[in-house]
Amino acid sequence: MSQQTPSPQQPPSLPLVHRAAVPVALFAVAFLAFLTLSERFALPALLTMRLPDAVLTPADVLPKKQRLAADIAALEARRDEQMTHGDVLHTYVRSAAAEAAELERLFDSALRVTREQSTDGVTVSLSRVALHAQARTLRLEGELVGSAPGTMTALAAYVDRLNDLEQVTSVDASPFTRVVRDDGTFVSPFSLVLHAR
Amino acid sequence: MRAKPLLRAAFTAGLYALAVGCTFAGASAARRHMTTLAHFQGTVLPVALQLPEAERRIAVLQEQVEAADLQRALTGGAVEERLRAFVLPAELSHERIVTFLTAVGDTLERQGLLRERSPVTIAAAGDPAAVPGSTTQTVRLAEVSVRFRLPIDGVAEALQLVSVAGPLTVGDVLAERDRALLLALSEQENPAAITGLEQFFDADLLSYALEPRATADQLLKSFTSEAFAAALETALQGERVRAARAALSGPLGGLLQEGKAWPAPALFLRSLERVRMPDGTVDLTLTFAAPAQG
Repeated sequence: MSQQTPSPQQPPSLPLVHRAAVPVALFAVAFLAFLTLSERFALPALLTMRLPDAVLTPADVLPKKQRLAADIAALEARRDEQMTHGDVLHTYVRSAAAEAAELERLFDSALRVTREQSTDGVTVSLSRVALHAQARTLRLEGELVGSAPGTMTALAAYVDRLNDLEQVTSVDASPFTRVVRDDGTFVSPFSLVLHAR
Repeated sequence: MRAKPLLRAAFTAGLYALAVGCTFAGASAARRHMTTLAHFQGTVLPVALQLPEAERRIAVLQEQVEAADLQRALTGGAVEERLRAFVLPAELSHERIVTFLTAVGDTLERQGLLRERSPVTIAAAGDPAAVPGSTTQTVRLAEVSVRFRLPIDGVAEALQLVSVAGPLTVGDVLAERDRALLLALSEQENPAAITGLEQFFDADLLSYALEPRATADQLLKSFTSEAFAAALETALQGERVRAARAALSGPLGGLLQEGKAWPAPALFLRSLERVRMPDGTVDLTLTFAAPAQG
């Protein structure tokens, strides 16, 4: 039996590297081929949906949904038009009446806040209230009367509460002042303009 | 002799290069699989599950549209005819405006709220103005004003009474969200009965105010679910429905019927001024725009 000794020019790992090259390359090629075939054929087949009246690929679903949503919106609009008879004058009257009702709500809300703002120590008295539909403003004129010198602070709190109303975008307030009457009561007159949404 | 190992090394290197290339391409394909599956699961599948429901809705809506078309052909635009004859006429009817505002004053008087009233002022109609949403239809607006002296708590009542000048049907005073909810529930429960809902929306506001239960019960014959009944109840408790019911079920409704002033002419509130008088009462000045077809 002859004994072979490794040559100094051929490192011992080289044959293994050579031997592994073909299986590694075959595995990689098979891996790629499998995934390519899967991507081309298996995946689309798996993800295709069969509805009662159509077969949809994933790419068809979103456009189909948009088409159906557009159809629904068109049918709803047509049905709503039938419900309002699609009549321009009827719609005009209805919208104008709804707008007026919305402004009256602002009027009611402002008066409610005014009533609630009157406490034991301070009374809010409105001398004039004016609502202007076209300008969408509500003017409140009056005074806060109190027996203690807190009317100016109470007026500021009143303005804040009016400003917090859902229908109000801003409040223009007159300067905050306080005067003492001869009878010793404290008075803060005000003129406020509420701007409606 | 040296060429063979070199050739073998080059062949090996080529195989490894092929393996690396294929592995990268395979990994990229695997990543595309994962992306596709994630997109399918996260986006496509939820949307696809909505499609049958959307198709069912389209079928229901088509059924409702056809039923409403048929109903419209049968009624022939009666509401529009009344609107053009009484609410928004071709020529401003001074008589009807004065009759309505007199009926409002008389109602306040019967309720013990009226201290004084001014004459009704009606200015000449202005120039034609385009109706929003229309390129052909115009209206001319005339300014109408009236003043009532009332106790301070009579202001809300007066505003409630004048708010019925314009709305003609129950549908006109329903909140938009309530109308939408009733329509949505009609789709779910009994799509074909949309004609009943249409009749309810078109019901005359005064007739409804005088007999509110009869109008609602008529509709509930077609829609029997508790959800629909609850939605209808909520709609009928809406602010404007309640105000119209309260105004027209009282003396005002009777006065308008007697004076043949219903449907009331449209009066759009332009300004409102409440001034406190020394005796504690208030002067309420109301200015309206009364429209006529241009």
